[in-house]
Amino acid sequence: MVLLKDVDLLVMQQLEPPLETAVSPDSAPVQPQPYSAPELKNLILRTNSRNFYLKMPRDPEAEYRILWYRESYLGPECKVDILVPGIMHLPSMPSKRAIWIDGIPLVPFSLLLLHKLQGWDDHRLAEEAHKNRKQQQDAADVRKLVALAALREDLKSTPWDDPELFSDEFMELSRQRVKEYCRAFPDRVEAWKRLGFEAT
Amino acid sequence: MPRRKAAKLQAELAPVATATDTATSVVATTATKVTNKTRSNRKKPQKTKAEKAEAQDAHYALVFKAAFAVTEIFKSFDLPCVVFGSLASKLYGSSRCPKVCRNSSTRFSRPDRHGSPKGC
Repeated sequence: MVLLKDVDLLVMQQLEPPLETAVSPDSAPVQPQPYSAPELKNLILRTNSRNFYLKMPRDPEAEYRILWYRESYLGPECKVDILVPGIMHLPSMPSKRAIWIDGIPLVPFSLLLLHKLQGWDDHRLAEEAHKNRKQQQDAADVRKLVALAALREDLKSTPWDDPELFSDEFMELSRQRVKEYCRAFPDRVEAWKRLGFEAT
Repeated sequence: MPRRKAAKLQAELAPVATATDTATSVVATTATKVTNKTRSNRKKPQKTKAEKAEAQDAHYALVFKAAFAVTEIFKSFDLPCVVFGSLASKLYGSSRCPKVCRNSSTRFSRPDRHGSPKGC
């Protein structure tokens, strides 16, 4: 069993256009720009530098930094990944679509499952050994999520044609990934069929 | 003792001392190799199932606190956010860390039309 390791967070930014009254007639209205992932990390650091801090990534030449959380100095730590819509086909979904469990807003289950399937596909095709090694865990996670979907009444009717969550491109890729997954694990064909996918 | 005799005795003893040093050095090197070998073969003490479960619970608590802290920060800036990945899987009830899932009384709620949770 693999330990739950980190927090993956998708930050949506529904930017309001500027009010006409607030704009000077001489100047063009300034469209608000969404925060980038590094800007969001800096926002967290400025708000709480006691518990959050940055670390260098594996590649010393990379410009990004990794956000970490700990409760006390030199205490146990956990990584916090901040992502913005558009990266890895993550959508800019309305906040009302969040599912709240134990006070934490979660992505809808359907997006969680297809995103994990994308992770499996990306990792199995990756050239880097450290990414490639993750595919077994991804495959197991997908199997568990599919089993969970079958068990829960509220997850059985997961709609897959959901333009708020899935672009046409992502959905097409997902349908191909389901077939690839079922080719690799033929014993899981029936479970995917029950979820409404063509598995072969 | 005459000076010449003392020098001769010293010359005779010198190789013996060198041989002794060499022998000591060989013993020391062997001892170091044995120690290093022992160190490399030394296995970490295996944790019991209860200890593993306790460590996992502690890490889950840390991950949960991190998620809560970061979502609160974004909430204060009116930036809606959602958790995905392994923590979301766990909260939905996947068995990646089954012990905590089974023991937790996970509250399931759908947001109302304003996006705020019911009963959270």
